Amino acid sequence: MVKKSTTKKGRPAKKTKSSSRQKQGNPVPWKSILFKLGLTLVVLVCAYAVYLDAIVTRQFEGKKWAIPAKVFARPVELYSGKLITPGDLQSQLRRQGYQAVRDVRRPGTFARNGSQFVIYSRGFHFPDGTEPSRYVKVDFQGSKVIRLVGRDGKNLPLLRLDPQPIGGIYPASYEDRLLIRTAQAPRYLIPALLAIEDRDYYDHVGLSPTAIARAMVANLKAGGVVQGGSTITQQLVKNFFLTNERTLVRKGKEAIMALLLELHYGKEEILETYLNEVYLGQHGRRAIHGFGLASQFYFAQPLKELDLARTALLVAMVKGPSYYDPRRYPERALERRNLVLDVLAERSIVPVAEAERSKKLSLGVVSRELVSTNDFPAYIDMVKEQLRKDYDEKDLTSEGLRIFTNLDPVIQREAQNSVTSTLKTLDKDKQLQGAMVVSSAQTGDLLAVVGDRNPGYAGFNRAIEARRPVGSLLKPAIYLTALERPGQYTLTTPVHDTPVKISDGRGGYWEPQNYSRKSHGQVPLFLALAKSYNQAAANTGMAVGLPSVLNTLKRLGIEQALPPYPSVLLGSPSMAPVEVANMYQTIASGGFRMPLRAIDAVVDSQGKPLSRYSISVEQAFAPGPMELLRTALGMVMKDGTGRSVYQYVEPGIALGGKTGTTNDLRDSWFAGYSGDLVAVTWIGHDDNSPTKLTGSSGALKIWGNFMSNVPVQSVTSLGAGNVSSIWVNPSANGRSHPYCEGAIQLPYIKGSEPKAYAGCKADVVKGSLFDKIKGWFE
Amino acid sequence: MMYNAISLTSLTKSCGKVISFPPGLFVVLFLTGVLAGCSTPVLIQEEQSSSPYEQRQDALGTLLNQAWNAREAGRFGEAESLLGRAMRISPTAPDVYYQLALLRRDQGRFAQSRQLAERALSLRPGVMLERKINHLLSALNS
Repeated sequence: MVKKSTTKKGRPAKKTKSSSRQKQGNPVPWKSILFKLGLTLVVLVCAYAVYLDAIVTRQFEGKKWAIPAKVFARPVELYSGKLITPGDLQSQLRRQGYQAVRDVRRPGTFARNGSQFVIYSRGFHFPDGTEPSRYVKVDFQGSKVIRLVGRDGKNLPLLRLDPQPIGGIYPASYEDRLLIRTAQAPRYLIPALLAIEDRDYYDHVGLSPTAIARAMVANLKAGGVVQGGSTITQQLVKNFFLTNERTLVRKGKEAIMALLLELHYGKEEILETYLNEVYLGQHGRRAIHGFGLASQFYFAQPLKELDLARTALLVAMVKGPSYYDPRRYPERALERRNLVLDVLAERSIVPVAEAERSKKLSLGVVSRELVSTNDFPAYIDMVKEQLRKDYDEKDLTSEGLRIFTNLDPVIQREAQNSVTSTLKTLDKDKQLQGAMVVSSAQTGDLLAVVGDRNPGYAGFNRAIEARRPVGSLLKPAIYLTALERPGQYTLTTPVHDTPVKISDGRGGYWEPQNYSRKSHGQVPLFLALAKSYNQAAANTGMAVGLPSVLNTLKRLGIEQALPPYPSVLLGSPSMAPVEVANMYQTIASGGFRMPLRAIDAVVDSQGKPLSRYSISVEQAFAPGPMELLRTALGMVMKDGTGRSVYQYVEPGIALGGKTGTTNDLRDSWFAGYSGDLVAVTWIGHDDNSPTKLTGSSGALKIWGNFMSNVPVQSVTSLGAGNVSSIWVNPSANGRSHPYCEGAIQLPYIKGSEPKAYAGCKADVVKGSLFDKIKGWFE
Repeated sequence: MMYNAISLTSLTKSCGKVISFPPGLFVVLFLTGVLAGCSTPVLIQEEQSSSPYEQRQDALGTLLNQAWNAREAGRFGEAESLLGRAMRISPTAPDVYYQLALLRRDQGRFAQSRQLAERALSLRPGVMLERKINHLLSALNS
């Protein structure tokens, strides 16, 4: 109709034409707008892609991760003569993830048949070079290794195991990983990972339309999101560059970045990065990333040692490390692991029989305690303290340094057990706290640090931070100062255990009492130390001079500046157990001052040595006076305040040490040494309330308990050239004969021996040496 | 004095290996060596250039032998690590401290070398080792 009328009347038709022209002439150039908009969008997307490209390349080509420093215990070395029980060796091997097998055929396995072990050690790169993997038969006789034989039947002098990792120094993110190369992956890891997570990995360019389609179908069928279509590249992009938010923008960004990543980098590099980046679990605040660390975390084994079943479990967990946590949800984890094994068999990646055999295996996950890298937080504190003197915090938390320490895992465990079990027996309310420091008597290697009664507690570290008055622990410094003056003092010189009143230097008076509230008059010097008489110590200290005693303490290794007050003589200064250990270290080593060393060496991430912390010694005391002091400290253990130690230790073993008790029994201390170990123990309350324990009834029990559970060597004489031993009657400070009742043999610095004979009184007093001496006084 | 002693030790070794010195230079070096040797004759006599632990098959002996060879070859870091291991195995063996004293001397850390030698003496070395340690000490002290 309209057409007809317009044909009849020209104008309207013209008008129509004209209006149509008008319409065409209007500024609504849709095509152009659309084109321009499209062009702008393309430019914007391109610009954005360029921006994303910069992000991708910058992060991917730079240092990909901050790698925390790894801390290792000292390696266990086996050799003929090594003292270690077969049980301790076995548990140590298990802690290091060695698998007990019947037939030892690959590194990381061992077999035990009574007192014979066959160990196939792992190779390891130490600061001094690479230790190869070795197959060795180890024979024991009791608690001693007697022979090592290699595969060729020849005797081997030494077997050094790989060291046990004991912790790390983490960045604020607490992300931890153990970098691996693709070549270090076990045989089935990559095929299994690709079969489960991204079967078209080698065919796509970062995105996989087929995977997306497959996922969509699966999700539609299930009525929800049950399957993802993300490729390995996309997963890596999400973990590496993006957040977890589920938005379209993020998905778009992920897609572009995945394409860019594939554009710039090869499949192998992307896959290797994925293997190290993927999140696989949580250990407290520490996030477990990458298959290398996950293998250690779940199986205590290096990744390359994993069998098919364990490999399948790790691959199974990629989907949801919390949901499939094999420690918390073993059934779920087992089901998914077996599903992975089925897929591998279906795709002919593994033979069906092998998959079926693996499905019958348990998960093989070791207990969290076994691999806890937080077992020794108190020791790690010491390591950090020493490291911070030489390294920046940033380097420690990001450069992948490897720290080799002197921690002895067997000694550390025994020390912690002794603290924990002794405190349990002493205190049912669990209020008492304890600390312990153990070092090597001859070298100053710090072997163990316990900072809390609860193993693995990473809080207030009492071994370093709890500064408490040390009581009688400083008395050896008083008598050592005296004994360095052989013209005036010998072990039998009578000292005055009599009431004393001294100006305290602060306007008051200091009047120390003995623990028994009794004075004992004139007593031989060694007896005063062995019985820990306060008044004798105060009188002797004042006689030799307070500054001299303070100087001796400094030479013994006490670094803090002590106030020149008389009360210092009886241990009023507050010290941490580790400071006390420094002092007794000097005595145990025979007068050589040697700082306690927690660290042995530091190497960089490539294994190049950065620093070594070798022994440094300084002779601080002549052997003569030190020999006399050590004799007196031996008397403390035999007949003095430390004598109850022989309820734990075989009486034939010579030990030295000193008890310490503070006012109102607030602190119970013991510091002592064997021929090979120095140990300091402390018991107290965190709120400083009384403990009802003396040094003997508290801390000494931890010490004795510990010494009874580790191989202990006797303290030996220093063999000082200017010292000779003679028989004396100690109460009379005169010479005697071996056959005289109560006569004892004591060392004297030549020229200081008693000249006169004190006769040979046939005493009939029964009991210990000190009962006899007491008898003479009475 | 110490510097001369070390020079002579290395010279002695070099003489064994390098026989193509021009005669004049050899004479000069020889005389220098003799003069240096005159100043510290004892140290040269006492300190053998081949490892005294070569025949040892036990753990300590093996490590001491390796440490000796590493030190002689100038691989001080390796020698230090090996001695650290030896010390853990046998912390009261005077040989370990003596060798560490030699290492410190070679590194130019004479004060620590002296202290370690004293430490070795305090651990009751046998007669032969005691002599060696005393010679080292007298060389260091002079």
